[in-house]
Amino acid sequence: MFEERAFRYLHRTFAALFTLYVIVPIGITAVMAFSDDNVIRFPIRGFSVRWFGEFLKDQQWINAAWNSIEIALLTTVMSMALALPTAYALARSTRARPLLQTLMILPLFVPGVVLGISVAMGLGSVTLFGTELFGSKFLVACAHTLWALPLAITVLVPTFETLDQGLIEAAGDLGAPPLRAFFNVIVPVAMTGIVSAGLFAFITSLNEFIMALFLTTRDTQTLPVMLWLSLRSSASPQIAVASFVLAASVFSTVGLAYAWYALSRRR
Amino acid sequence: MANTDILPRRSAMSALTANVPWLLVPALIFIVFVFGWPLLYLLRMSFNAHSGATVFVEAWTLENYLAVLTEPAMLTEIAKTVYISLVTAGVTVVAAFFFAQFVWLRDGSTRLIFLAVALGPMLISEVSVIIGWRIFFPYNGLLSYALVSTGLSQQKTNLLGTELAAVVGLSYISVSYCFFSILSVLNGIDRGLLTASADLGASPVRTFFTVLLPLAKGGIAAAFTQAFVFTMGIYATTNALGPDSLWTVPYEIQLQMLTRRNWPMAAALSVVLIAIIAFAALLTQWLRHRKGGRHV
Repeated sequence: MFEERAFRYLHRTFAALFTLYVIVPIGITAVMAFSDDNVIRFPIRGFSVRWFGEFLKDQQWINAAWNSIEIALLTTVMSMALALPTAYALARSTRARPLLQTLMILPLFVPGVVLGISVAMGLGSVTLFGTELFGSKFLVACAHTLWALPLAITVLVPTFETLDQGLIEAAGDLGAPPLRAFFNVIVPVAMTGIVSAGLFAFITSLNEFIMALFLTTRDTQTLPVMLWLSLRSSASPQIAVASFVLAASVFSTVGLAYAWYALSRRR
Repeated sequence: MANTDILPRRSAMSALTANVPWLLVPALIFIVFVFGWPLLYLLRMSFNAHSGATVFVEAWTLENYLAVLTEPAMLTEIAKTVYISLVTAGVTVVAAFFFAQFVWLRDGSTRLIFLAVALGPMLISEVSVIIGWRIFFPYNGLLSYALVSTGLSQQKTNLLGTELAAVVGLSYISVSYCFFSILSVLNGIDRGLLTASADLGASPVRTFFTVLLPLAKGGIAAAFTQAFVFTMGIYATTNALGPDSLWTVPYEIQLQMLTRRNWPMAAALSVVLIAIIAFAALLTQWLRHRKGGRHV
């Protein structure tokens, strides 16, 4: 009996340490972002929002932040436009499904550095409608879609599988054309899955920086790419501010989605 | 169903209810152009030659592969990449398992809070993780300050640039994925089995090794492979937190591509890296199926 209790305490201590481990890197960045010091060091001598001011004044950081958002939105739109029909078809098909689903998920297991250089080599010299593909936000979004699409499909297939077949048939019997039935009947029922899939796509793109490193120029650089490139050259808390802004934008996106979910459930 | 319908509207509707393979076409086209074509191009590139002036010279040569698979420096890099990935996967799976077990035994809001904690690392960018640990580990970092001010250490310590820092950072990246694979397996196990085992007089340690571990084996193997595969492809964390001597294959790929501007060599290294990853994934798949067969 004594032994059992000892193990329970041990397990609790472990869980506390694990929670600390998860919180440390992000918590420490959040605290350091408000440091008044000129360099990153402990103990922190004073707190201010001085480095936030510096960040907002720096055109290159702001530009990078906007690039990140644009690319993440583009990735979300592209991966959802591809994932919705794909997941729907996969949920309906039976025979070819394991093979096709594996094929669609495959890019997720290829390292970012390999995807980055192969897209840069294979598509970097292509010119589409008079504009060079290399360095364009579109190409970065395409590369990010390689990871966002499998994630979106993985979320959406179970959503569509649990759909009530009767609903769709009823819509058809009442005379709705297929596309209208899809948007008016299926989409509202599957909304939670669709929003989660879009969220995954958005966050994946916002956070990714290895592929973007090989595909962007100075003008299209994203926020995480710029963070990575200034990692060794910058010793001031400004880098903590930029890192905090990136993490905060992810968490507020998740928060917004959760607020939407809570509201729609109450209704 | 579609063929037997006579009403035109009904048969158009059946597109939504019946098997609809044509809906796969857009995604397949995308995968072929943005994934298949670049990878084939990469494969072709790995057989090209390199001269100082341009990034590559068209050729059919095995020189790059010969260099990757015979040069001692390259072989050391491959060995180090596999080594750090194995260590990271081991540490990550152990941590993820005990935390998953902890969450599995809880209900209600406690469970939700810990689930949110486990989800955290998945939402944070690798670069933010690196920056966080680079504030934590160095000479003037939080760890050193905490150790000195609590009297645990007399002098300031620097742990940035050690293998420990690298493993801590690397495991942060795959720990969420491992946690959720293990938890999904644990959720399929009846918690009553643990109570039954205890009632029959087994000690917690014995219950753990003879009841829980064998039941969760599949999930642990899947999580281990996942962590191994993820870590094999990472260079940013290893490079920014680990020692300079920890020179891995992905780092070499990046160096050949951006600094040396030797595309064929970068391509050959990538092909070798993918081959190792594919081999590891297929090996675990084979082991799992073999073991599953023996049980049934």
